Amino acid sequence: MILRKLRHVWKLMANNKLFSAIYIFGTALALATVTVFAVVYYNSLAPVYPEYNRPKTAYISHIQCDEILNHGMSQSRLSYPFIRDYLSNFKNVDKMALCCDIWAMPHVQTENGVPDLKVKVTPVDTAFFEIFNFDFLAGAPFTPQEFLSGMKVAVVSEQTIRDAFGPISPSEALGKDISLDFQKYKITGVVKEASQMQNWSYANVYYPYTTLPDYKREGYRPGTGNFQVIYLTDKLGELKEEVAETIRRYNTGNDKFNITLWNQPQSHNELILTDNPLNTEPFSLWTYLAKGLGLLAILLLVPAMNLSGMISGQMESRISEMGIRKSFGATRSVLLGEILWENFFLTLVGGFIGFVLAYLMFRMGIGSIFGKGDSELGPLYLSASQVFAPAIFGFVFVISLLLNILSAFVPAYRSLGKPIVESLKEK
Amino acid sequence: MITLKNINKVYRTKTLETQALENVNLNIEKGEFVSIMGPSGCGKSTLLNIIGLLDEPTSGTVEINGETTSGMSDKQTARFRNETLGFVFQSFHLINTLNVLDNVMLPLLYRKNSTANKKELAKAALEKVGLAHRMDHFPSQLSGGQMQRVAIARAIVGNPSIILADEPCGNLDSKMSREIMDILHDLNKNQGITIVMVTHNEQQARETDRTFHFFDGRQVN
Repeated sequence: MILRKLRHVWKLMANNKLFSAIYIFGTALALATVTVFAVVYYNSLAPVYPEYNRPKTAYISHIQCDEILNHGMSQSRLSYPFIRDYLSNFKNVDKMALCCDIWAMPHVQTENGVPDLKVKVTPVDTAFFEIFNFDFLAGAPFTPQEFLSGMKVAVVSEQTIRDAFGPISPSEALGKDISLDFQKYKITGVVKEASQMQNWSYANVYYPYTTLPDYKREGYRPGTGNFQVIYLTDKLGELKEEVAETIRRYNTGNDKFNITLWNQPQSHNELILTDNPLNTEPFSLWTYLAKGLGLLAILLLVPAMNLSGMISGQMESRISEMGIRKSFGATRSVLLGEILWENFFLTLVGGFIGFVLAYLMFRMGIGSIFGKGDSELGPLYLSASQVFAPAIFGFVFVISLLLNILSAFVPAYRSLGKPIVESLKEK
Repeated sequence: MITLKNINKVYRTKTLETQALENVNLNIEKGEFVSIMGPSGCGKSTLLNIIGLLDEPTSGTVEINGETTSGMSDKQTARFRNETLGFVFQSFHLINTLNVLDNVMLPLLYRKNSTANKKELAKAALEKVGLAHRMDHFPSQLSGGQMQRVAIARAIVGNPSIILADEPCGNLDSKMSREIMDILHDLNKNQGITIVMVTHNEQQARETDRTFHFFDGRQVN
């Protein structure tokens, strides 16, 4: 039965090559756009490698320090001493990790003859690898002893190993030194690379922040520095209260400086969706979802209307066929189902092409439109599994169905309303 | 079998009212082969459409196999057409995007038989009209006579008790017309199918059991 229907759809397509081509291409473009959005949101919000703990992670990334007397102010990352003294001992935290934000990208001195290569490095602690669940292809994270003693050790991504040493296996890289701006770090582990879309965990090289000579140094004003805090917690509300109370006490006992952390720690969703660590408005995931879906509806409505016009023309040429089918016992609802099915097949073909287009768009750097990826690191790396994830596939499938119904239902329903006798008169 | 009582059909536009059928009463018995004759525009096809539940009368009742058709829902009407009636049209009305077998299977698509059974029935119907060897062809690859034979196979595949043929030979030459008439007579005689045929051809009308003559929407015999 399905084969017969497919054959019929194929014949319809062959009979109307231009219509089919335009329809499929139009659908592909519309669904490519939808897929790009879905990929960006999915990879930014869903629990994906290695940020599987996103539903439980919370972040403090910024601090503001106001001078009470001079009215001077600093706004930056946090300092290690401030975190250690005020943000480390909360009841409602399961795990806590620090990472240092380094803007400058060092070069790796390669052994395979290719020019030095720029990499993103993130100085971290051992807990970082407990909150972010990296796949270790070889070796392990550096040990607490290596971390505390400030040894120059590193966890390196598989791709960086290949870039630096050529085609060697991850296990062959263990124990080798990787040279970052001529500073050598011994490789203790090789991990599967995270995507640039995983802002918090993505880097090419991770090494202990204890290797930084001045990591304990306070910034120009108290609390300011280069660190960010990552908490793992089931009780974000309570943790926020604990943090707010700590800051309130700090400020009460300090007549020179006033510290502000706004509404931090923020949940992963809040940080990504508001894109504002300084947000003080109450955060509602549903508000953002509604806005996103509203935008999507507008994005879909335009192609749906265009496709609807095309289908309307197409249905005109099939009125006689509909009359024949009705003469032999088809009801309006059965025919409507058949037309939607046929159309859905075309939409699915368009959807598949749209998926491939979306993947190519990411390879060509469309991620930078969304502030994802780094031009210095080349095109945004996305594995096929990140684009073809079941959740994204399911979402785009539902959207295809929606687009199909939006574009085909009205013209099909209208043309099927024509009396049989009149339909049979059509050529 | 088929009883029409006081059938009127009026087509209305904003400025014009046309009486297509006026007070038509007729009775067709089971197993009869009847023809309807008359000049163009006399209401023959309208009458056939009303018998075939493709159109509704403005007033009057249609009774087929003891069932009054007025008041049937769309679904009931569709089912009735599917199970009781078979149509043969002057211009064949085959679906160009379906091959011969799929065209013949069309009425069965709206039934709950298995696909294998549907294929079997469609092949059997094609054998009856001598076109089993063309089942993979598309309508555009057939002659007019062959297309009408396919249309007849489609009309009989669902084993209907009535075939309604609207000028089945109207687009065919005399040799092909003869073939089609022979098939219709065979279906009537050997399978007991009641046939109502609209025709302009007096010779073909004479071959049927009875002929109803129409003029200006009225039955004149």
